[in-house]
Amino acid sequence: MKKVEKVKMAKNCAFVVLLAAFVAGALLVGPAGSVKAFAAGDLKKLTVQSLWFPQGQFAGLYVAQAKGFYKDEGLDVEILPGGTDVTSEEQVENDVAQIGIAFYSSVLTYQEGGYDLVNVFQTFRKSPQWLIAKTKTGIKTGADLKGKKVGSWFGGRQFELYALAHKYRMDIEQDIKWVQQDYTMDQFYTDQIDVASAMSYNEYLLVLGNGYSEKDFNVLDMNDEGVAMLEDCLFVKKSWAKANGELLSKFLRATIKGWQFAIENPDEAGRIVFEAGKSATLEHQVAMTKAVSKFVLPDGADKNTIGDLERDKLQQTIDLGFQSGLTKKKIEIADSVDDSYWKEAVKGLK
Amino acid sequence: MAWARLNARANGGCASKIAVLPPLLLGAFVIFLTQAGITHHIFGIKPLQLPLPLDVASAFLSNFDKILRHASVTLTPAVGGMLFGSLVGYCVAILVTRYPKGGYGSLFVMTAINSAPITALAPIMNRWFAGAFFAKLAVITVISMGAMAVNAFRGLNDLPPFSLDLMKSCAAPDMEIFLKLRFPASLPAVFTALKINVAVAMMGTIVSEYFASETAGIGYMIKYSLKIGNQKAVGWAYILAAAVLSLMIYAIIAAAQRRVVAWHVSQRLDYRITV
Repeated sequence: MKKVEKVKMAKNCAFVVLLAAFVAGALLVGPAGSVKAFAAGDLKKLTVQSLWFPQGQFAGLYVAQAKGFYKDEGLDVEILPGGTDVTSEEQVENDVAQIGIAFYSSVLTYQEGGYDLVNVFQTFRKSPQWLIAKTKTGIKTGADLKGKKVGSWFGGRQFELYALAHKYRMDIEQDIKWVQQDYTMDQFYTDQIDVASAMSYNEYLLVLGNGYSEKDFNVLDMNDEGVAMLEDCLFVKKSWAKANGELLSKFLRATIKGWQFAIENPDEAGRIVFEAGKSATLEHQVAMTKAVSKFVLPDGADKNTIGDLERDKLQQTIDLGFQSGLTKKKIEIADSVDDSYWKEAVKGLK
Repeated sequence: MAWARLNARANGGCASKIAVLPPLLLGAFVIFLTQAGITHHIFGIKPLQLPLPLDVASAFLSNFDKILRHASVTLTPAVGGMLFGSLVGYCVAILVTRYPKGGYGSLFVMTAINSAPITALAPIMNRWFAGAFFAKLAVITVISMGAMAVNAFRGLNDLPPFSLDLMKSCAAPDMEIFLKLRFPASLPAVFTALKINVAVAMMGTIVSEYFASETAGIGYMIKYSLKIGNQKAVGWAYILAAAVLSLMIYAIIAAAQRRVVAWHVSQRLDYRITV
């Protein structure tokens, strides 16, 4: 018995020594190195973390890259594609990229979480988010959603739907049967869900291309419902922007030129995006580029206002987000948005 | 035999108390390092990205009702699938034991199926089964069959020397040989397989929930919360819940093992120390 205990003690000691060695090793290795922007030739290198695979949704950036607008401003820009498990906010906070693309509503949650991020360019000035329901379901407005199966991609894309439910005084968790929607529209085709999320520039076009006509389903537009929250924007770290203000303005200026070109030449822009990723057909990329144009440059707006940070719309996003539980506190718009870099950028435009 | 059992009882409790001490201390030490911000410093991460343990604890407590609800959604298919899959695996092991010539190859097939990635199985099962519960049950059944089949086969055939010869020389029928010799001999291996399958089942269920259409379950809540900037601590609270649940099932199986196969060498103190 005594012998046994001794052996045991020795084993325990060995274990503790091993543990100590492990911790010491970890301490020595030290913090993981952070990626920094570096100069390539005379060009300043900038990395952008996109929200998704290359597609018409981001046409302005790919055009500015392919057409040399970034190079003209002295920038060498790399665009990292996104994916289901890439979070732009994390990538920018971790200095993997200097500029990120995300929904403004999602950026708000990271700002409340203490991330040092600021919105500097509002790419989509209207919400492209639609809900679609087959005509036979009889669902026409947000009020009809009660008790229905509603699909969402979640991951930061659900908050307009929450705001819609909140508008009709529904309990967000109890009154709607939320379903995780995958990145096909199969659940919609096979009636596994009553209502599907559909970006008007992407999934809606896919459904139309799949043998359905516009008469087959009802569309709930978040803008008409009054619960539009702003989506795609460009954000940076506040500390980085302070030190690199000029660089950022140059980047924004070239991006505006990229969008102007894409809106005027959607066929060529669609081809550029198609070549960049081949994630969908050429026709789909052209159609998507055309469809996003009206969110980037709403009807009647001057082409040099692309990216404009319109306070009333930003404030509406903040207010709706606060009401529907997106943020616990109401974010101050002055802490959340900085339009000085955009103002500097448009000064250089003709 | 009786002596062995007594001895195991007498020392078992004391030994296990000492045995849990180092891992507990390690856990407390790591938690302390993290709360003090030392872990963050070592790996160059911010508290926003890895929430402090106290924040996770408070998120755990304030969301406790929700966590229980989602835990039951995860636990039911995890435990059900684990038991059902293990049963299927055991039956295969019996068949292979009875018909070794034709059946031996099926163990390889089992192992092959077992190594199919959950990330591939989950979306497939989600398409095959209408309900998320059955989809998860199917995934867990498939991934927990293999470990049981291989382990149980070994247990059913690793018999005390000459015991099979003795029973055969007494003309014992197959059923008798199974009930009195093979079945008891297989029990230690069965518990080993069950312990492996606890981790596999929890992991499998959580990953399945990443792909499921259902908006419930611990896996879904982890995915959901970690993607929202001000909900990271809540996400970690669900990770904590998953760990606690796994430990609880593991503890139940270990307790059952101590009662059922107390005679086995793995439950005896001298064995535990020298191996």
